[in-house]
Amino acid sequence: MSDIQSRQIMEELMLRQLGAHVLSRHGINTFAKFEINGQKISYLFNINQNNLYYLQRISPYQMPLGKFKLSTDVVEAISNDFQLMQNATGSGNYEVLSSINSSFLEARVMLEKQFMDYNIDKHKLDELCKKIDDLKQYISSLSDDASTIDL
Amino acid sequence: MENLSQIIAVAVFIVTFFFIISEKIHRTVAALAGALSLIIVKVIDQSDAISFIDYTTIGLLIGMMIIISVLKRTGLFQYLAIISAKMAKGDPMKLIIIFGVVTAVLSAFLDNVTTVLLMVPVTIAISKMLSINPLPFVMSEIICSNIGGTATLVGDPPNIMIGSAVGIDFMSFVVNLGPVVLIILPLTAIILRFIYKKDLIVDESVKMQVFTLDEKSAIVDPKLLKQSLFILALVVIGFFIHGKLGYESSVIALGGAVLLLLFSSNDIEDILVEVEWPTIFFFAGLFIIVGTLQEVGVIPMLGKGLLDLTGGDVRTTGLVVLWSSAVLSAFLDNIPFVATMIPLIQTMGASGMDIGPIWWALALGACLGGNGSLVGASANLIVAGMLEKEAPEHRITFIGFLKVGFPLMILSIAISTVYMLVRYL
Repeated sequence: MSDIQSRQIMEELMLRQLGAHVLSRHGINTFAKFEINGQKISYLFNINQNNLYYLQRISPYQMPLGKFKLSTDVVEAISNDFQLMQNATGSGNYEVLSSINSSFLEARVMLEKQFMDYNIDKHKLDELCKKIDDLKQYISSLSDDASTIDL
Repeated sequence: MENLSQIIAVAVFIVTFFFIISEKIHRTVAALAGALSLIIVKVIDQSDAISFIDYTTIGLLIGMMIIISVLKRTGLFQYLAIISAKMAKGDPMKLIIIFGVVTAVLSAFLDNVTTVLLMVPVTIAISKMLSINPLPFVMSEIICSNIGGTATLVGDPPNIMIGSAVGIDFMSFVVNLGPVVLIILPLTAIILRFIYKKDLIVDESVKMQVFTLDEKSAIVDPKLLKQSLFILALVVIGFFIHGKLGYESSVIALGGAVLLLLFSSNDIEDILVEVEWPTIFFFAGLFIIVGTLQEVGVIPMLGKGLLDLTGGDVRTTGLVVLWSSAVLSAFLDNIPFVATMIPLIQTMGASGMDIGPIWWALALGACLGGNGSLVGASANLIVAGMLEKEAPEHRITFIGFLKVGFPLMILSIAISTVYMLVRYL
């Protein structure tokens, strides 16, 4: 028995004592790493409990990319996303995009922490929802007067 | 030509042994490379090599590994650990004894290395939940598992190898080694409690926390658990009577494994991937290398040398084998040592010496010797690594283990010496 299998027993016991339903299975985590324009682009996929491939981009920032039935679909998804990232990293605004995405992630963490630690007033949450809707509208309008990118 | 074969065989053995001990390459790779080199340079041919592999040992190991792989999925070990903790009412003074004894009993019927690797993570988890130092319980489990595993044919790989090579059945192991284990085990558990007594005094509030643990949630598959326990009971009964039934112990173990695979709804690939194939291939490679040493006459020469040294005296030979195998097993991998000693002792037997007691000396020394140091058993090192990660403030160092394990090992061998002298020598 390996060290990993032994530790798995410990983890499962502690999680079950917390009341969790735990399912462990052998699997393979596949990492696909690229480097373009000095930027590392990495993907990770594995097979989830429903026998679907779960794909996510893990670098330069985390982004779930979907669930797929066939391995060929996963490869195609990576290929398409990589092409888009290849284009994006060549843009002069890429660093700004990266920074904005990191800020979004930070904001999500902040929001959850505020919600978990304090009794937030419903009106403030409604106001926040409205501001996010406004932000989404603004994001949609970014492509107004902008030319399409041909891949 | 015979001399050249002997020289090559010895050179391959020494180089392989060097790599196994130094861990410069994985021991399985070393053993397989050694075995293959003997075939390539035609010291032995392929059919010889295959015939040297002890399929009873291999079959027994595989069978027990599959059984444990299925049992593990039921949550049985976690359940036993929580029940033990509740039986002790959270009192660490009682817990150190109970955990040691439970591990020892399980180790007698399931491979002791795997039993430790199943019990220790659970012990660390329970200790974390109760906020107590896991080290005393972990040490108790490691040391008691080696002792418990000594008592039966299936409890420790050296016994499996000896039993298979010599045709000693399960019952014979229990009758011959059970009594001395029953003396060593409680004494060791009590001494461990004394050694760690300062760490075993906790507040009542800590003890009461044990009742917050839920043993029922540890059982993952109640139906499979019942089936597994029933089949395990059949396997244990099978071990006790396999000699009378005329079956090798491997048939019993593999039979139990196949039954469990039939009843288990788990994917067979998930079960079989957990069989320790590197260990199985390590054994195969080792059997080929040692078989070659036997075939080319090296081991018969060594056997004659040992006979000359001891004058063929059973008592002297028995004590030399007992103590040397214990000390060597404390610091070296005992499996290659036992694999080499078996044909050596058989050679001495062929010259007319009564080697019956020598087998028990070898079994006691090789099994109990594993308690001598951190490197004495592979489970010790994995457990030390686990503690280093999960509870670094309570990690086991080489010297720390040596201070506790080595004296206890010497005590167990001293008791075994008295036992051997009274009963056999």
